[in-house]
Amino acid sequence: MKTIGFFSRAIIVLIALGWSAGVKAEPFRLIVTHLEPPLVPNSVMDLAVELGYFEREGVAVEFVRVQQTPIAVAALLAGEGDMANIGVDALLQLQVQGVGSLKAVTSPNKSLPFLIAAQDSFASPADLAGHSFGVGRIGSLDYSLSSRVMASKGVAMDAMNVVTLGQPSVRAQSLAAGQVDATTMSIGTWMSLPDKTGLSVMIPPDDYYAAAPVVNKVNAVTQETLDKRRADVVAVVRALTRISRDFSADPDLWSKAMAPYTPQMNADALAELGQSFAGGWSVNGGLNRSELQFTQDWVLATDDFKGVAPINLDTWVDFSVADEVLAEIGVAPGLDSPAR
Amino acid sequence: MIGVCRIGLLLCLLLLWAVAAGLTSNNVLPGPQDTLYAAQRLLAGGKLAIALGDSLTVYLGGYLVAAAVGVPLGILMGGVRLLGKTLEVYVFALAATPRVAFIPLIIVLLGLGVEAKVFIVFLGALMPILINTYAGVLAADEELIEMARSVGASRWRIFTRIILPGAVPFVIVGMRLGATIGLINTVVAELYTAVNGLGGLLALYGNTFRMAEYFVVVLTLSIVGVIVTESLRYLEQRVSRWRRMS
Repeated sequence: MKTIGFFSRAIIVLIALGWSAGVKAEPFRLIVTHLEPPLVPNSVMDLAVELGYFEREGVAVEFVRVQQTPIAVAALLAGEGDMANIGVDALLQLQVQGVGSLKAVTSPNKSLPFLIAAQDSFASPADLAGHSFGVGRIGSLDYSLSSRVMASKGVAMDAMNVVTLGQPSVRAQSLAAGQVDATTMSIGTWMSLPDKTGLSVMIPPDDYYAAAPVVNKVNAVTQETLDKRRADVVAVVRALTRISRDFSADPDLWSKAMAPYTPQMNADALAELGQSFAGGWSVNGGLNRSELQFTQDWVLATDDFKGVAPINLDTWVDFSVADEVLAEIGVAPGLDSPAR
Repeated sequence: MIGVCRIGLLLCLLLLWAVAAGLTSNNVLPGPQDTLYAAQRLLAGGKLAIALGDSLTVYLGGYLVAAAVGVPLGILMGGVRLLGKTLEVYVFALAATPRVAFIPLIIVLLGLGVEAKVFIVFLGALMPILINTYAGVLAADEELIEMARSVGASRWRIFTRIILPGAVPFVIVGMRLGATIGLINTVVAELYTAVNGLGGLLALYGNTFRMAEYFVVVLTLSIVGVIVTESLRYLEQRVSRWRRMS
Protein backbone atom coordinates (compact mmCIF):
# COMPACT_ATOMS: atom_id res chain seq x y z
CA MET A 1 0.00 0.00 0.00
CA LYS A 2 2.88 2.24 0.94
CA THR A 3 4.53 1.39 -2.39
CA ILE A 4 1.37 2.37 -4.30
CA GLY A 5 1.22 5.63 -2.34
CA PHE A 6 4.84 6.39 -3.15
CA PHE A 7 4.35 5.70 -6.86
CA SER A 8 1.15 7.75 -7.06
CA ARG A 9 2.91 10.68 -5.36
CA ALA A 10 5.87 10.26 -7.68
CA ILE A 11 3.58 10.26 -10.71
CA ILE A 12 1.80 13.40 -9.47
CA VAL A 13 5.18 15.10 -8.92
CA LEU A 14 6.40 14.04 -12.37
CA ILE A 15 3.17 15.24 -14.01
CA ALA A 16 3.45 18.53 -12.14
CA LEU A 17 7.10 18.90 -13.19
CA GLY A 18 6.20 18.01 -16.76
CA TRP A 19 3.37 20.53 -16.71
CA SER A 20 5.56 23.31 -15.36
CA ALA A 21 8.29 22.38 -17.86
CA GLY A 22 5.64 22.52 -20.58
CA VAL A 23 4.65 26.01 -19.47
CA LYS A 24 8.27 27.11 -19.45
CA ALA A 25 8.90 25.42 -22.78
CA GLU A 26 6.49 27.74 -24.58
CA PRO A 27 7.86 31.25 -24.28
CA PHE A 28 6.16 34.19 -25.94
CA ARG A 29 8.42 35.12 -28.85
CA LEU A 30 8.61 38.85 -29.48
CA ILE A 31 10.20 39.85 -32.78
CA VAL A 32 12.04 43.17 -32.68
CA THR A 33 14.05 45.00 -35.33
CA HIS A 34 16.77 46.25 -33.01
CA LEU A 35 19.73 44.29 -31.71
CA GLU A 36 19.98 45.85 -28.28
CA PRO A 37 17.78 48.37 -26.42
CA PRO A 38 17.47 51.44 -28.70
CA LEU A 39 17.89 54.97 -27.36
CA VAL A 40 14.18 55.69 -27.77
CA PRO A 41 11.05 54.71 -25.76
CA ASN A 42 10.79 51.53 -27.88
CA SER A 43 13.47 50.21 -25.49
CA VAL A 44 10.65 49.37 -23.03
CA MET A 45 10.37 45.95 -24.66
CA ASP A 46 13.97 44.98 -23.87
CA LEU A 47 13.97 46.66 -20.49
CA ALA A 48 10.72 44.93 -19.49
CA VAL A 49 12.69 41.68 -19.68
CA GLU A 50 15.72 43.10 -17.87
CA LEU A 51 13.64 44.64 -15.08
CA GLY A 52 11.31 41.65 -14.67
CA TYR A 53 8.05 43.27 -15.84
CA PHE A 54 7.08 40.36 -18.11
CA GLU A 55 7.98 37.85 -15.43
CA ARG A 56 5.76 39.63 -12.92
CA GLU A 57 2.87 39.41 -15.39
CA GLY A 58 3.47 35.67 -15.67
CA VAL A 59 4.70 35.55 -19.24
CA ALA A 60 8.14 34.38 -20.37
CA VAL A 61 9.16 36.61 -23.25
CA GLU A 62 11.93 35.54 -25.60
CA PHE A 63 13.30 37.94 -28.21
CA VAL A 64 13.77 37.12 -31.86
CA ARG A 65 16.03 39.84 -33.22
CA VAL A 66 16.01 40.62 -36.93
CA GLN A 67 17.33 43.53 -38.95
CA GLN A 68 14.29 44.97 -40.72
CA THR A 69 10.49 45.09 -40.68
CA PRO A 70 10.07 42.91 -43.85
CA ILE A 71 11.99 40.08 -42.17
CA ALA A 72 10.00 40.57 -38.96
CA VAL A 73 6.75 40.34 -40.94
CA ALA A 74 7.92 37.22 -42.82
CA ALA A 75 8.93 35.62 -39.52
CA LEU A 76 5.61 36.46 -37.86
CA LEU A 77 3.60 35.08 -40.78
CA ALA A 78 5.79 31.95 -40.82
CA GLY A 79 5.00 31.33 -37.14
CA GLU A 80 8.55 32.12 -36.01
CA GLY A 81 7.25 34.61 -33.44
CA ASP A 82 4.07 35.52 -31.58
CA MET A 83 4.25 39.31 -31.74
CA ALA A 84 6.34 41.70 -33.83
CA ASN A 85 7.22 45.36 -33.48
CA ILE A 86 6.80 46.56 -37.07
CA GLY A 87 6.23 49.71 -39.10
CA VAL A 88 2.63 50.80 -39.66
CA ASP A 89 3.36 51.21 -43.38
CA ALA A 90 4.32 47.52 -43.63
CA LEU A 91 1.18 46.48 -41.78
CA LEU A 92 -0.94 48.57 -44.17
CA GLN A 93 0.90 47.07 -47.16
CA LEU A 94 -0.15 43.63 -45.95
CA GLN A 95 -3.74 44.83 -45.59
CA VAL A 96 -3.92 46.15 -49.14
CA GLN A 97 -2.39 42.89 -50.39
CA GLY A 98 -5.13 40.93 -48.64
CA VAL A 99 -3.03 39.55 -45.76
CA GLY A 100 -5.55 40.61 -43.14
CA SER A 101 -4.54 38.27 -40.35
CA LEU A 102 -2.26 40.73 -38.51
CA LYS A 103 -3.65 43.05 -35.84
CA ALA A 104 -1.93 45.90 -34.03
CA VAL A 105 -2.58 45.47 -30.30
CA THR A 106 -0.30 48.09 -28.80
CA SER A 107 2.36 50.64 -29.68
CA PRO A 108 5.16 50.87 -27.11
CA ASN A 109 6.58 53.87 -28.97
CA LYS A 110 3.97 55.50 -31.19
CA SER A 111 6.29 57.85 -32.95
CA LEU A 112 10.04 57.34 -32.97
CA PRO A 113 11.63 60.71 -32.16
CA PHE A 114 13.06 61.60 -35.57
CA LEU A 115 15.10 64.68 -36.39
CA ILE A 116 16.77 66.13 -39.47
CA ALA A 117 20.50 66.63 -39.09
CA ALA A 118 22.60 68.59 -41.55
CA GLN A 119 26.10 69.92 -42.15
CA ASP A 120 26.33 73.02 -39.97
CA SER A 121 27.09 75.17 -43.01
CA PHE A 122 23.34 75.05 -43.70
CA ALA A 123 21.53 77.50 -41.45
CA SER A 124 17.94 76.76 -42.47
CA PRO A 125 15.94 74.14 -44.41
CA ALA A 126 15.61 76.57 -47.33
CA ASP A 127 19.41 76.43 -47.77
CA LEU A 128 19.17 72.71 -48.59
CA ALA A 129 17.51 73.39 -51.97
CA GLY A 130 19.78 71.97 -54.67
CA HIS A 131 21.82 69.98 -52.12
CA SER A 132 21.84 66.29 -51.22
CA PHE A 133 19.41 64.71 -48.77
CA GLY A 134 19.86 61.07 -47.65
CA VAL A 135 16.81 58.81 -47.36
CA GLY A 136 16.25 55.08 -46.84
CA ARG A 137 14.60 54.64 -50.21
CA ILE A 138 12.13 56.56 -52.34
CA GLY A 139 8.70 56.01 -50.80
CA SER A 140 10.05 54.71 -47.47
CA LEU A 141 8.59 55.94 -44.19
CA ASP A 142 11.53 58.27 -43.49
CA TYR A 143 11.25 59.63 -47.05
CA SER A 144 7.50 60.28 -46.73
CA LEU A 145 7.77 61.78 -43.24
CA SER A 146 10.71 63.97 -44.20
CA SER A 147 8.89 65.14 -47.36
CA ARG A 148 6.05 66.32 -45.14
CA VAL A 149 8.39 67.97 -42.63
CA MET A 150 10.45 69.72 -45.31
CA ALA A 151 7.27 70.82 -47.11
CA SER A 152 6.09 72.40 -43.84
CA LYS A 153 9.33 74.42 -43.92
CA GLY A 154 8.68 75.48 -47.51
CA VAL A 155 11.13 73.07 -49.19
CA ALA A 156 9.85 70.43 -51.62
CA MET A 157 11.73 67.13 -51.63
CA ASP A 158 12.07 67.47 -55.42
CA ALA A 159 14.07 70.66 -54.90
CA MET A 160 16.84 68.59 -53.27
CA ASN A 161 19.07 65.89 -54.66
CA VAL A 162 17.58 62.85 -52.92
CA VAL A 163 20.12 60.05 -52.33
CA THR A 164 18.91 56.56 -51.31
CA LEU A 165 21.19 55.10 -48.65
CA GLY A 166 19.24 52.44 -46.71
CA GLN A 167 19.60 51.96 -42.96
CA PRO A 168 19.66 54.98 -40.56
CA SER A 169 23.20 54.14 -39.42
CA VAL A 170 24.45 54.30 -43.02
CA ARG A 171 22.66 57.62 -43.54
CA ALA A 172 24.21 59.00 -40.36
CA GLN A 173 27.68 57.82 -41.37
CA SER A 174 27.24 59.31 -44.83
CA LEU A 175 26.33 62.62 -43.22
CA ALA A 176 29.28 62.44 -40.84
CA ALA A 177 31.61 61.63 -43.75
CA GLY A 178 30.28 64.62 -45.70
CA GLN A 179 28.79 62.48 -48.45
CA VAL A 180 25.31 63.99 -48.01
CA ASP A 181 24.27 67.41 -46.75
CA ALA A 182 21.32 66.37 -44.60
CA THR A 183 19.36 63.31 -43.56
CA THR A 184 16.70 62.01 -41.18
CA MET A 185 17.53 59.81 -38.19
CA SER A 186 16.16 59.02 -34.75
CA ILE A 187 17.47 60.95 -31.78
CA GLY A 188 18.99 57.68 -30.58
CA THR A 189 21.08 57.36 -33.75
CA TRP A 190 22.09 61.02 -33.45
CA MET A 191 23.14 60.60 -29.83
CA SER A 192 25.14 57.47 -30.71
CA LEU A 193 27.30 59.30 -33.25
CA PRO A 194 30.65 59.64 -31.48
CA ASP A 195 31.90 62.60 -33.53
CA LYS A 196 29.39 65.31 -34.46
CA THR A 197 31.97 67.86 -35.55
CA GLY A 198 30.58 69.97 -38.38
CA LEU A 199 27.04 68.64 -37.92
CA SER A 200 23.98 70.13 -36.31
CA VAL A 201 20.31 69.35 -35.71
CA MET A 202 18.36 71.36 -38.26
CA ILE A 203 14.87 70.17 -37.27
CA PRO A 204 14.59 68.81 -33.69
CA PRO A 205 12.25 65.91 -32.77
CA ASP A 206 9.44 68.11 -31.40
CA ASP A 207 9.27 70.18 -34.60
CA TYR A 208 9.55 67.03 -36.68
CA TYR A 209 6.64 65.39 -34.86
CA ALA A 210 4.56 68.57 -35.04
CA ALA A 211 4.94 68.55 -38.83
CA ALA A 212 4.36 64.79 -39.22
CA PRO A 213 2.28 63.52 -36.27
CA VAL A 214 1.94 59.92 -37.36
CA VAL A 215 2.21 56.60 -35.54
CA ASN A 216 5.12 54.72 -37.06
CA LYS A 217 5.52 51.52 -35.07
CA VAL A 218 3.06 49.07 -33.56
CA ASN A 219 3.19 45.62 -32.01
CA ALA A 220 1.22 43.23 -34.19
CA VAL A 221 0.04 39.68 -33.65
CA THR A 222 -1.71 37.21 -35.91
CA GLN A 223 -5.42 36.57 -35.36
CA GLU A 224 -4.44 32.99 -34.52
CA THR A 225 -2.16 34.14 -31.68
CA LEU A 226 -4.88 36.47 -30.46
CA ASP A 227 -7.33 33.58 -30.36
CA LYS A 228 -5.00 30.95 -28.90
CA ARG A 229 -2.73 32.98 -26.59
CA ARG A 230 -4.88 35.96 -25.70
CA ALA A 231 -3.91 35.80 -22.00
CA ASP A 232 -0.21 36.06 -22.93
CA VAL A 233 -0.87 38.92 -25.37
CA VAL A 234 -2.76 40.80 -22.65
CA ALA A 235 0.05 40.10 -20.14
CA VAL A 236 2.68 41.45 -22.56
CA VAL A 237 0.67 44.64 -23.23
CA ARG A 238 0.04 45.07 -19.49
CA ALA A 239 3.78 44.71 -18.74
CA LEU A 240 4.69 47.23 -21.46
CA THR A 241 2.07 49.67 -20.21
CA ARG A 242 3.26 49.36 -16.60
CA ILE A 243 6.96 49.90 -17.47
CA SER A 244 6.01 52.89 -19.66
CA ARG A 245 4.15 54.41 -16.71
CA ASP A 246 7.12 53.86 -14.41
CA PHE A 247 9.55 55.48 -16.88
CA SER A 248 7.12 58.34 -17.46
CA ALA A 249 6.97 58.94 -13.70
CA ASP A 250 10.74 58.66 -13.27
CA PRO A 251 12.81 59.16 -16.47
CA ASP A 252 16.01 58.52 -14.48
CA LEU A 253 14.87 54.94 -14.08
CA TRP A 254 15.07 54.60 -17.86
CA SER A 255 18.50 56.24 -18.17
CA LYS A 256 19.91 54.03 -15.41
CA ALA A 257 18.48 50.90 -17.05
CA MET A 258 19.94 51.94 -20.40
CA ALA A 259 23.41 52.79 -19.09
CA PRO A 260 24.91 49.28 -19.52
CA TYR A 261 23.92 49.31 -23.22
CA THR A 262 25.35 52.70 -24.03
CA PRO A 263 29.03 52.70 -23.06
CA GLN A 264 29.60 55.44 -25.65
CA MET A 265 27.32 57.91 -23.81
CA ASN A 266 27.92 59.64 -20.51
CA ALA A 267 25.33 59.50 -17.72
CA ASP A 268 24.33 63.18 -18.02
CA ALA A 269 23.57 62.92 -21.75
CA LEU A 270 21.55 59.78 -21.12
CA ALA A 271 19.59 61.45 -18.30
CA GLU A 272 18.93 64.45 -20.56
CA LEU A 273 17.70 62.13 -23.29
CA GLY A 274 15.39 60.38 -20.82
CA GLN A 275 13.91 63.74 -19.78
CA SER A 276 13.34 64.63 -23.46
CA PHE A 277 10.94 61.68 -23.82
CA ALA A 278 8.45 63.20 -21.34
CA GLY A 279 4.99 62.63 -22.78
CA GLY A 280 6.33 60.11 -25.31
CA TRP A 281 5.74 57.01 -23.18
CA SER A 282 2.77 54.80 -24.07
CA VAL A 283 1.21 54.92 -20.62
CA ASN A 284 -2.16 53.73 -21.95
CA GLY A 285 -1.14 51.23 -24.61
CA GLY A 286 -0.38 53.72 -27.35
CA LEU A 287 -3.53 53.19 -29.43
CA ASN A 288 -5.63 56.25 -30.20
CA ARG A 289 -8.29 55.86 -32.91
CA SER A 290 -8.03 59.37 -34.31
CA GLU A 291 -4.19 59.26 -34.41
CA LEU A 292 -4.27 55.86 -36.11
CA GLN A 293 -6.94 57.02 -38.57
CA PHE A 294 -4.83 60.09 -39.39
CA THR A 295 -1.78 57.84 -39.83
CA GLN A 296 -3.69 55.44 -42.08
CA ASP A 297 -5.06 58.26 -44.24
CA TRP A 298 -1.61 59.80 -44.53
CA VAL A 299 0.17 56.53 -45.33
CA LEU A 300 -2.43 55.60 -47.96
CA ALA A 301 -1.85 58.95 -49.63
CA THR A 302 1.89 58.26 -50.10
CA ASP A 303 3.43 57.05 -53.37
CA ASP A 304 3.68 53.41 -52.23
CA PHE A 305 -0.12 53.20 -51.92
CA LYS A 306 -1.25 54.99 -55.07
CA GLY A 307 -4.59 53.69 -56.34
CA VAL A 308 -5.39 51.32 -53.45
CA ALA A 309 -8.92 50.99 -52.08
CA PRO A 310 -9.75 52.54 -48.67
CA ILE A 311 -9.21 50.31 -45.63
CA ASN A 312 -11.28 50.04 -42.47
CA LEU A 313 -9.10 50.79 -39.42
CA ASP A 314 -10.63 47.88 -37.48
CA THR A 315 -9.25 45.38 -39.99
CA TRP A 316 -5.71 45.98 -38.75
CA VAL A 317 -6.14 47.40 -35.22
CA ASP A 318 -7.59 45.47 -32.28
CA PHE A 319 -8.30 47.80 -29.38
CA SER A 320 -9.76 45.07 -27.17
CA VAL A 321 -6.43 43.93 -25.70
CA ALA A 322 -5.41 47.44 -24.60
CA ASP A 323 -8.98 48.03 -23.35
CA GLU A 324 -8.78 44.87 -21.24
CA VAL A 325 -5.48 46.08 -19.75
CA LEU A 326 -6.84 49.58 -19.05
CA ALA A 327 -9.99 48.15 -17.48
CA GLU A 328 -7.73 46.32 -15.06
CA ILE A 329 -5.06 48.92 -14.27
CA GLY A 330 -6.99 52.12 -15.03
CA VAL A 331 -6.26 54.98 -17.42
CA ALA A 332 -3.21 57.10 -16.63
CA PRO A 333 -3.16 60.86 -17.19
CA GLY A 334 -0.84 62.13 -19.90
CA LEU A 335 -0.51 62.63 -23.63
CA ASP A 336 -1.25 59.01 -24.50
CA SER A 337 -5.01 59.36 -24.69
CA PRO A 338 -6.74 56.00 -25.33
CA ALA A 339 -9.55 57.54 -27.45
CA ARG A 340 -11.67 54.94 -29.20
CA MET B 1 61.34 34.83 -47.98
CA ILE B 2 57.59 34.86 -48.58
CA GLY B 3 57.07 35.08 -44.82
CA VAL B 4 59.25 38.19 -44.57
CA CYS B 5 57.42 39.79 -47.52
CA ARG B 6 54.05 39.06 -45.93
CA ILE B 7 55.10 40.53 -42.56
CA GLY B 8 56.48 43.57 -44.38
CA LEU B 9 53.21 44.06 -46.22
CA LEU B 10 51.27 43.65 -42.95
CA LEU B 11 53.37 46.37 -41.32
CA CYS B 12 52.80 48.67 -44.32
CA LEU B 13 49.06 48.06 -44.12
CA LEU B 14 49.04 48.79 -40.37
CA LEU B 15 50.91 52.03 -40.99
CA LEU B 16 48.53 53.00 -43.78
CA TRP B 17 45.59 52.15 -41.52
CA ALA B 18 46.95 54.32 -38.69
CA VAL B 19 47.49 57.25 -41.08
CA ALA B 20 44.02 56.87 -42.63
CA ALA B 21 42.41 56.68 -39.15
CA GLY B 22 44.17 59.89 -38.17
CA LEU B 23 42.85 61.65 -41.25
CA THR B 24 39.21 60.53 -41.02
CA SER B 25 36.42 61.01 -38.49
CA ASN B 26 36.20 58.35 -35.78
CA ASN B 27 32.63 57.67 -36.95
CA VAL B 28 34.17 55.84 -39.88
CA LEU B 29 37.62 54.41 -39.19
CA PRO B 30 39.14 53.57 -35.79
CA GLY B 31 42.90 53.38 -35.34
CA PRO B 32 44.81 50.09 -34.84
CA GLN B 33 45.36 50.86 -31.15
CA ASP B 34 41.64 51.50 -30.48
CA THR B 35 40.85 48.28 -32.33
CA LEU B 36 43.34 46.37 -30.18
CA TYR B 37 41.75 47.70 -26.98
CA ALA B 38 38.30 46.82 -28.32
CA ALA B 39 39.53 43.29 -29.08
CA GLN B 40 40.77 42.94 -25.51
CA ARG B 41 37.38 44.10 -24.19
CA LEU B 42 35.43 41.74 -26.43
CA LEU B 43 37.68 38.79 -25.59
CA ALA B 44 37.53 39.51 -21.86
CA GLY B 45 33.72 39.79 -21.94
CA GLY B 46 33.39 36.52 -23.85
CA LYS B 47 31.11 38.18 -26.42
CA LEU B 48 33.47 37.52 -29.34
CA ALA B 49 34.01 33.87 -28.40
CA ILE B 50 30.25 33.19 -28.21
CA ALA B 51 29.59 34.93 -31.53
CA LEU B 52 32.53 33.10 -33.15
CA GLY B 53 31.18 29.78 -31.88
CA ASP B 54 27.72 30.54 -33.32
CA SER B 55 29.17 31.58 -36.67
CA LEU B 56 31.55 28.62 -36.94
CA THR B 57 28.69 26.21 -36.19
CA VAL B 58 26.65 27.68 -39.05
CA TYR B 59 29.64 28.05 -41.38
CA LEU B 60 31.16 24.60 -40.91
CA GLY B 61 27.73 22.94 -40.87
CA GLY B 62 26.68 24.50 -44.18
CA TYR B 63 30.11 24.10 -45.76
CA LEU B 64 30.56 20.43 -44.85
CA VAL B 65 27.08 19.56 -46.13
CA ALA B 66 27.87 21.48 -49.35
CA ALA B 67 31.10 19.50 -49.77
CA ALA B 68 29.33 16.23 -48.99
CA VAL B 69 26.70 16.95 -51.65
CA GLY B 70 28.72 18.96 -54.18
CA VAL B 71 31.68 16.63 -54.70
CA PRO B 72 29.71 13.38 -55.29
CA LEU B 73 27.11 15.17 -57.41
CA GLY B 74 29.83 16.86 -59.50
CA ILE B 75 31.57 13.51 -60.03
CA LEU B 76 28.27 11.91 -60.97
CA MET B 77 27.44 14.72 -63.41
CA GLY B 78 30.89 14.46 -65.01
CA GLY B 79 30.87 10.66 -65.06
CA VAL B 80 27.36 10.20 -66.45
CA ARG B 81 27.23 12.61 -69.37
CA LEU B 82 23.46 12.44 -69.86
CA LEU B 83 22.93 13.41 -66.22
CA GLY B 84 25.54 16.17 -66.51
CA LYS B 85 24.04 17.67 -69.64
CA THR B 86 20.54 17.47 -68.13
CA LEU B 87 21.44 19.15 -64.84
CA GLU B 88 24.11 21.65 -65.84
CA VAL B 89 21.75 24.33 -67.17
CA TYR B 90 19.82 24.30 -63.88
CA VAL B 91 23.01 24.31 -61.82
CA PHE B 92 24.36 27.32 -63.76
CA ALA B 93 21.00 29.11 -63.39
CA LEU B 94 21.04 28.54 -59.63
CA ALA B 95 24.68 29.61 -59.40
CA ALA B 96 23.85 32.89 -61.13
CA THR B 97 20.95 33.71 -58.78
CA PRO B 98 21.87 35.73 -55.69
CA ARG B 99 21.23 33.61 -52.62
CA VAL B 100 19.69 36.63 -50.86
CA ALA B 101 16.75 36.28 -53.29
CA PHE B 102 15.82 32.96 -51.65
CA ILE B 103 15.84 34.26 -48.09
CA PRO B 104 12.11 35.11 -47.75
CA LEU B 105 11.28 31.60 -48.98
CA ILE B 106 13.89 30.04 -46.67
CA ILE B 107 12.41 31.93 -43.69
CA VAL B 108 8.94 30.60 -44.51
CA LEU B 109 10.20 27.01 -44.95
CA LEU B 110 12.93 26.76 -42.32
CA GLY B 111 12.30 29.68 -39.98
CA LEU B 112 14.92 32.02 -38.58
CA GLY B 113 17.10 29.59 -36.66
CA VAL B 114 20.24 27.61 -37.29
CA GLU B 115 18.62 25.36 -39.94
CA ALA B 116 17.84 28.36 -42.15
CA LYS B 117 21.35 29.77 -41.66
CA VAL B 118 23.05 26.47 -42.46
CA PHE B 119 20.93 26.16 -45.59
CA ILE B 120 21.92 29.64 -46.79
CA VAL B 121 25.61 28.77 -46.31
CA PHE B 122 25.03 25.42 -48.03
CA LEU B 123 23.45 27.13 -51.06
CA GLY B 124 26.36 29.54 -51.35
CA ALA B 125 29.18 27.01 -50.90
CA LEU B 126 27.58 24.27 -52.99
CA MET B 127 27.82 25.91 -56.42
CA PRO B 128 31.59 26.47 -56.71
CA ILE B 129 32.28 22.99 -55.29
CA LEU B 130 29.81 21.32 -57.64
CA ILE B 131 30.77 23.25 -60.76
CA ASN B 132 34.52 22.84 -60.23
CA THR B 133 34.21 19.13 -59.49
CA TYR B 134 32.11 18.71 -62.63
CA ALA B 135 34.65 20.68 -64.67
CA GLY B 136 37.51 18.64 -63.16
CA VAL B 137 35.96 15.34 -64.19
CA LEU B 138 35.29 16.69 -67.71
CA ALA B 139 38.88 17.96 -68.01
CA ALA B 140 40.37 14.48 -67.72
CA ASP B 141 43.53 13.89 -69.78
CA GLU B 142 42.27 12.28 -73.01
CA GLU B 143 45.73 10.95 -73.95
CA LEU B 144 46.10 9.16 -70.63
CA ILE B 145 42.63 7.65 -70.99
CA GLU B 146 43.44 6.50 -74.52
CA MET B 147 46.68 4.99 -73.30
CA ALA B 148 44.85 3.15 -70.48
CA ARG B 149 42.27 1.87 -72.92
CA SER B 150 45.01 0.59 -75.23
CA VAL B 151 46.40 -1.56 -72.41
CA GLY B 152 42.93 -2.93 -71.62
CA ALA B 153 42.03 -0.96 -68.46
CA SER B 154 38.37 -1.22 -67.48
CA ARG B 155 36.07 1.86 -67.45
CA TRP B 156 35.91 1.72 -63.63
CA ARG B 157 39.71 1.58 -63.38
CA ILE B 158 40.06 4.50 -65.78
CA PHE B 159 37.51 6.49 -63.76
CA THR B 160 39.10 5.80 -60.37
CA ARG B 161 42.77 5.88 -61.42
CA ILE B 162 42.86 8.63 -64.05
CA ILE B 163 39.73 10.76 -64.08
CA LEU B 164 39.21 11.21 -60.32
CA PRO B 165 42.87 11.94 -59.40
CA GLY B 166 43.01 14.40 -62.29
CA ALA B 167 39.93 16.19 -60.93
CA VAL B 168 41.38 16.66 -57.43
CA PRO B 169 43.00 20.08 -58.05
CA PHE B 170 39.68 21.35 -59.49
CA VAL B 171 37.79 19.98 -56.49
CA ILE B 172 40.17 21.70 -54.06
CA VAL B 173 39.87 25.00 -55.96
CA GLY B 174 36.07 24.61 -55.78
CA MET B 175 36.29 23.93 -52.07
CA ARG B 176 38.47 27.00 -51.54
CA LEU B 177 36.03 29.17 -53.46
CA GLY B 178 33.15 27.53 -51.60
CA ALA B 179 34.87 28.24 -48.28
CA THR B 180 35.11 31.95 -49.11
CA ILE B 181 31.56 32.22 -50.42
CA GLY B 182 30.32 30.13 -47.49
CA LEU B 183 31.90 32.58 -45.05
CA ILE B 184 30.29 35.53 -46.83
CA ASN B 185 26.95 33.70 -46.77
CA THR B 186 27.36 33.01 -43.04
CA VAL B 187 27.34 36.77 -42.41
CA VAL B 188 24.45 37.22 -44.87
CA ALA B 189 22.49 34.49 -43.07
CA GLU B 190 23.18 36.05 -39.67
CA LEU B 191 22.01 39.43 -40.90
CA TYR B 192 18.90 38.31 -42.78
CA THR B 193 17.47 35.72 -40.36
CA ALA B 194 17.53 35.92 -36.54
CA VAL B 195 20.50 38.19 -35.93
CA ASN B 196 23.38 36.54 -34.05
CA GLY B 197 26.99 35.40 -34.44
CA LEU B 198 29.69 37.56 -35.98
CA GLY B 199 27.17 38.96 -38.50
CA GLY B 200 24.98 40.05 -35.60
CA LEU B 201 27.91 41.80 -33.94
CA LEU B 202 28.71 43.55 -37.24
CA ALA B 203 25.13 44.86 -37.41
CA LEU B 204 25.09 45.82 -33.75
CA TYR B 205 28.38 47.73 -33.75
CA GLY B 206 27.76 49.23 -37.20
CA ASN B 207 24.35 50.55 -36.16
CA THR B 208 25.71 52.09 -32.97
CA PHE B 209 28.91 53.47 -34.53
CA ARG B 210 31.21 51.42 -32.28
CA MET B 211 33.68 51.16 -35.12
CA ALA B 212 36.63 49.78 -33.12
CA GLU B 213 34.51 46.78 -32.09
CA TYR B 214 33.19 46.59 -35.65
CA PHE B 215 36.73 46.29 -36.98
CA VAL B 216 37.53 43.53 -34.48
CA VAL B 217 34.66 41.50 -35.98
CA VAL B 218 35.83 42.26 -39.54
CA LEU B 219 39.37 41.14 -38.68
CA THR B 220 38.05 38.00 -36.96
CA LEU B 221 36.15 37.08 -40.14
CA SER B 222 39.28 37.69 -42.19
CA ILE B 223 41.33 35.45 -39.90
CA VAL B 224 38.74 32.66 -40.13
CA GLY B 225 38.81 33.01 -43.93
CA VAL B 226 42.62 32.85 -44.06
CA ILE B 227 42.78 29.79 -41.76
CA VAL B 228 40.21 27.87 -43.80
CA THR B 229 41.63 28.70 -47.24
CA GLU B 230 45.25 28.11 -46.15
CA SER B 231 44.23 24.74 -44.67
CA LEU B 232 42.66 23.81 -47.97
CA ARG B 233 45.76 24.95 -49.84
CA TYR B 234 47.85 22.71 -47.60
CA LEU B 235 45.44 19.86 -48.35
CA GLU B 236 45.75 20.61 -52.06
CA GLN B 237 49.54 20.43 -51.85
CA ARG B 238 49.34 17.10 -50.03
CA VAL B 239 46.89 15.43 -52.40
CA SER B 240 48.52 16.84 -55.56
CA ARG B 241 52.03 15.78 -54.60
CA TRP B 242 51.96 12.95 -57.18
CA ARG B 243 51.34 15.51 -59.94
CA ARG B 244 54.43 17.53 -59.10
CA MET B 245 56.53 14.37 -58.68
CA SER B 246 55.46 13.15 -62.12
